[in-house]
Amino acid sequence: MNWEVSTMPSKRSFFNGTLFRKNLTRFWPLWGGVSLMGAVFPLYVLLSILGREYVSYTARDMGRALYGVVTELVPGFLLVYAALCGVLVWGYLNNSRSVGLYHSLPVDRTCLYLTTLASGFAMVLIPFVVVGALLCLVCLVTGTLPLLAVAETALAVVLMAVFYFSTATLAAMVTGNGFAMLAFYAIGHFLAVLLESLVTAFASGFLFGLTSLSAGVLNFLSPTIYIYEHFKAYYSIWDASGPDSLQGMWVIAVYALAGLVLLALSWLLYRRRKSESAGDVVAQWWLKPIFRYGVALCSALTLGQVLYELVYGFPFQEGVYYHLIPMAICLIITGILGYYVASMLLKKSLRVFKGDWQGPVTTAAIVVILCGCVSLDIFGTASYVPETEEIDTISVTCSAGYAVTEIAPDSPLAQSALALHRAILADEDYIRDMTAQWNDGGQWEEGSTGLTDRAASADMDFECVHFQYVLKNGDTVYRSYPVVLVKDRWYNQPDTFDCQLRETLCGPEAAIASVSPGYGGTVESVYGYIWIEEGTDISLAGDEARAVYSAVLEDAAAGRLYHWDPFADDEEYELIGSLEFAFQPGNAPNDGNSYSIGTEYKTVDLYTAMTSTLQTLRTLGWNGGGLVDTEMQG
Amino acid sequence: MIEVKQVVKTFDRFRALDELNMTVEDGAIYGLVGPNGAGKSTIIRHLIGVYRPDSGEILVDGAPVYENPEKKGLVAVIPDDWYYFPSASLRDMMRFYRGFYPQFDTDRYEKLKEVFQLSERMPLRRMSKGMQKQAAFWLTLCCRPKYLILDEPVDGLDPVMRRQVWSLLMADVAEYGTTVLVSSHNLRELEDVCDHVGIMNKGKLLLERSLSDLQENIAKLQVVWSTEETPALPGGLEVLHTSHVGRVYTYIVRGAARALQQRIAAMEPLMVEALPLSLEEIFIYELGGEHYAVKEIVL
Repeated sequence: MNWEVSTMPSKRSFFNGTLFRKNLTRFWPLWGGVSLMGAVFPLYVLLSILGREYVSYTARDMGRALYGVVTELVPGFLLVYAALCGVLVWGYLNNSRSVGLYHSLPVDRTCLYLTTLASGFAMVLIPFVVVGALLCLVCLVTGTLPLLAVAETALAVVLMAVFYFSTATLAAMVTGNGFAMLAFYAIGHFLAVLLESLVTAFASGFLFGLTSLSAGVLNFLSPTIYIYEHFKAYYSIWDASGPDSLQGMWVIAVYALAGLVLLALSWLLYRRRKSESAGDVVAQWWLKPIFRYGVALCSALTLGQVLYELVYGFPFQEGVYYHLIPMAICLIITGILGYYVASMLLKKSLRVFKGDWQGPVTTAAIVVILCGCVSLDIFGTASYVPETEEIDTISVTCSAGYAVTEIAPDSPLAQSALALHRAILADEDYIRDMTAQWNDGGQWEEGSTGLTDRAASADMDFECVHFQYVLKNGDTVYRSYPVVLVKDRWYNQPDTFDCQLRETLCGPEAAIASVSPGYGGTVESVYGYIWIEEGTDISLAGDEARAVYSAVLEDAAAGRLYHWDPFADDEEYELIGSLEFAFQPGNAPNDGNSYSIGTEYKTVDLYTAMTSTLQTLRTLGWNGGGLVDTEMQG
Repeated sequence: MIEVKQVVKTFDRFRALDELNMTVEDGAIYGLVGPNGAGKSTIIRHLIGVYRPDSGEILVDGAPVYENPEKKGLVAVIPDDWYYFPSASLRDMMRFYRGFYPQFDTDRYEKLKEVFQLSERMPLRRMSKGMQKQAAFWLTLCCRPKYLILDEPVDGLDPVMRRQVWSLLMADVAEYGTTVLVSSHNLRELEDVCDHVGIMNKGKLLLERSLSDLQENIAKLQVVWSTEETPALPGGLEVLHTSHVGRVYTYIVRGAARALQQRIAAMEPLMVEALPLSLEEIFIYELGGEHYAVKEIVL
């Protein structure tokens, strides 16, 4: 036999049809089963259309159904399904026997990679193609085919499929174990938010005012969350002829591009991957230390805090903030534990303790440095107050439920809120001391009366003041301060945070803000109805309603609206009714959420102290129940 | 020709191949023997392009085999743990191999049905180990490889099928010049089929020769000395092993049997006789020098 003929060098191949077909035929139960389940959707549509006496479908309805499915179901479905496809088609990398077969075949790794990738991608898309084709057929037959929506939906599905399958592929490239692949995939998709939450929760235990609420700045690294936040269907509710659309396509387009980059990275990893890594939890040598120390750090941050609470926090801790040394010890213990667990996974053996002292020492050093950096607040997080020009809106809330929300930064109220925040920071030591004593039921240091006694005599009140800054760059800054309010400071010491809190939450500006429509600007028209206890429902519109609203604003400016005051006697406020004002949409932003566009309502409780409002109502001829007359006369 | 030059492979600090050198000439049937853990399977995985060496070179037909589809197309392998798809039948695997090996011989596949009487439709996972081995041979022979690499190839086959398989291999070697590298612990069997032998230990090749050279270069001498005391052997003799029963001494000595016999005869023993060594004996005595001897332990 002439070898030179039968094995003549051929052009480099990037695709092998046999392998492609083999992958599809091997794993048909998965994509076939999913296609079958998906086919229920067009069947349901068909049956619904056949029963027209109850349901009437139009092309627009179909389009909306597609938009709803692609924005609400597809991301979550692909998150799971792409992982299953990935673990199947790349499964040969997890077994030394199958690696031996595949890598001894007369094709290079690029060909194997591209062919496996294509077959996996086909497996991801087949159910969508089947369901889409059936749905189009149903729509064609019934004359309800929304062409644009179908095209947009198909594009969105392909883009998301590229992204999700690329991440599954990357996960398969970094491990040689199917279970680890699924774990890495799941962790990878949510690692950023998990880590941000962990670090924020940890830091909030040390830093004054920091909350365990994460700002979500890393949400974009957790794509499913980010897609659900930004990729939405927009239905034109107010304009029946207006177009519906998918908003945030750019988000999935960017993720798809990122997916292509990940595929290129995966290809490089596959080319350098060692066949002998089959079965290993981590298949790339350079990832092993990252895995070890990553597991150690996560273990320290999670288990460390649990251990601290169990052995020190609950029985011994004073105040609401962590103590440095006990926490550092807990972090070291749990960090080293995590390090050894990671080593066991990597070595597939329980014998990891002998000889490896550098790793635990390094882990201990890392967590001690972390603990020190956080407790010393080296980035100045605790003392950070956003500048006016950085801020989009500010909200201040106290635990009593009173709040001013989404105020513009250039308003006097916003400046008052910023001043309040700075005053709280300036009084940090005092506040820490007071809250620690309050929590522990300790004694009031300065005065003669015990803290608990003073609280009992209504001279003191415990509250939590929350700040939320939405910044112009899209970030959100949360701060939360547990404080003990003192009556004397609240009323008589203007420089204290207590008094500034009163001015911010209980002043005229806050009262006006509480009855103003959220989107600001000029109120084009006000519709309203008035309902007062003992009276009948009354509705006012146009100029009459606007006159009542003006009177309410007048009462607010004069401080006659009910406002929260922990030390005030509320007897002067008697609830006599409720007003609900409806504001026509003014300059409400089109944020893609159909439910936020429309009439905005503001409810104002009506109290006897609101003389201007009551006077206006009387002038307009409303005299229900005699109560108004009585008050007016009074 | 297969050439292995200074190949090093390390797994987690364990040096599985230690500057290994090996050459398999075209048309040879090369027996690769060695104790467990010597590195035989590791070098085989390098030869078929599965493993990449840490350093060194592995050439098949003059070019590196790793990531070289053209050269990998010349090589077919039957590993000790042959992989088949879990639900695949023999015919499924045939189609799979046919899609990768351009020279896959479908006619031969049909003809070999007479030899390997296996069901083509039965899932391979339901077959016995021996039947799976037959299936592996069937498909591999149809790939018409220029280089056939076998790791414990007849393990699990019955004696008749062993002969049948070897017969087919020998026929390929004779007719097409196929080069066969076979790793096995069944040295008696290798002795019958191999013309070259390499002995591996601890990641290195201890020796590599044609079988005839090997057998000519080591001899077993049985000597009966005329005196009570055992005389010292002539200087320069490389004695690998010595034993005696009564006055009958057995020496395993490196060198040509005839020359050794003459040198001992010059010492005027009562009797001296040179006996040929089997491959198994050569293996044992060569490795004995590498501290891998049969230890006489009383339990």
